[in-house]
Amino acid sequence: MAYCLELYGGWESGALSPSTSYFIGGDNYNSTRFNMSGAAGWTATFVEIPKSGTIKSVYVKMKLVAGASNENVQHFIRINDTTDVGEIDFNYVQNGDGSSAPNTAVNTSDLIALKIVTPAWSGNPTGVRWYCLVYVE
Amino acid sequence: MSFYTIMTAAGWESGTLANAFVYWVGGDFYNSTRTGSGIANFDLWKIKVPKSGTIVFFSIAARIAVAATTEVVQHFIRINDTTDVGQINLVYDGNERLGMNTAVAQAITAGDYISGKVLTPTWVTQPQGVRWRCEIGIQF
Repeated sequence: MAYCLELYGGWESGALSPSTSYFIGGDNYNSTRFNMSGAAGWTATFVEIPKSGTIKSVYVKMKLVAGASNENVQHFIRINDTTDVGEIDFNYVQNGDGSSAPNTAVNTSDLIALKIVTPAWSGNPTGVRWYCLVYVE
Repeated sequence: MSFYTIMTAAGWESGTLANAFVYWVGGDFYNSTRTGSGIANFDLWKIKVPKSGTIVFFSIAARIAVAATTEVVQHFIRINDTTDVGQINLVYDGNERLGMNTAVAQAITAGDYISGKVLTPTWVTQPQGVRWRCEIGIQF
């Protein structure tokens, strides 16, 4: 048994804030417009694990309209709003992607979202969208 | 034998598709018809395959706000920006079109990159407001 969960989010315009956590998951639109940061962001975006298994891999793809300065952005899979796994780091100077192999067990009805932790940019990016593929086996 | 699927979606609420042009349905849910389309932009849409196996099916759904004339639109899975497989032909002369290919039989390796690819014809009348949903089934 295996499956993928696809997590989407982002916004065509608008700047990401520095030193902020954003979440994407079950809303494909406007994660930077409708308060998708912090605790409200988690609640608005988490998706439910349909079947117990192990998160074997995570792939994150990020597209943007205007690039940032070269500080790294951290990406995690957040589980049940308590645990971050599968860290992927890359900067937002231009479009980017990355992957990890967290090998983390999840149970049916656990909740997950992609958590993005922005750095203290000297120049913030605008128009950032994300696609995240979570593979569970 | 086990199985998983990769789902992608893309498109644009308005705007006209170009003639004889490539659009991608991959790792961006938004604006595939507005930014980053064209044959040179596979990298903007590619998705990393998480597990080796065999692609056994490919489906594509198109929602079309303003229908086109009856020229054939070709849909493929593009692999590593070198190989097109799973061809599905549809005509965009209505508002909803769905195609499925269950005879793909293409080996794929973890770490390969894939995307849905749409190759438009030279229409007499082009469609507007086209959105796609693409599903790729992999057996291992």
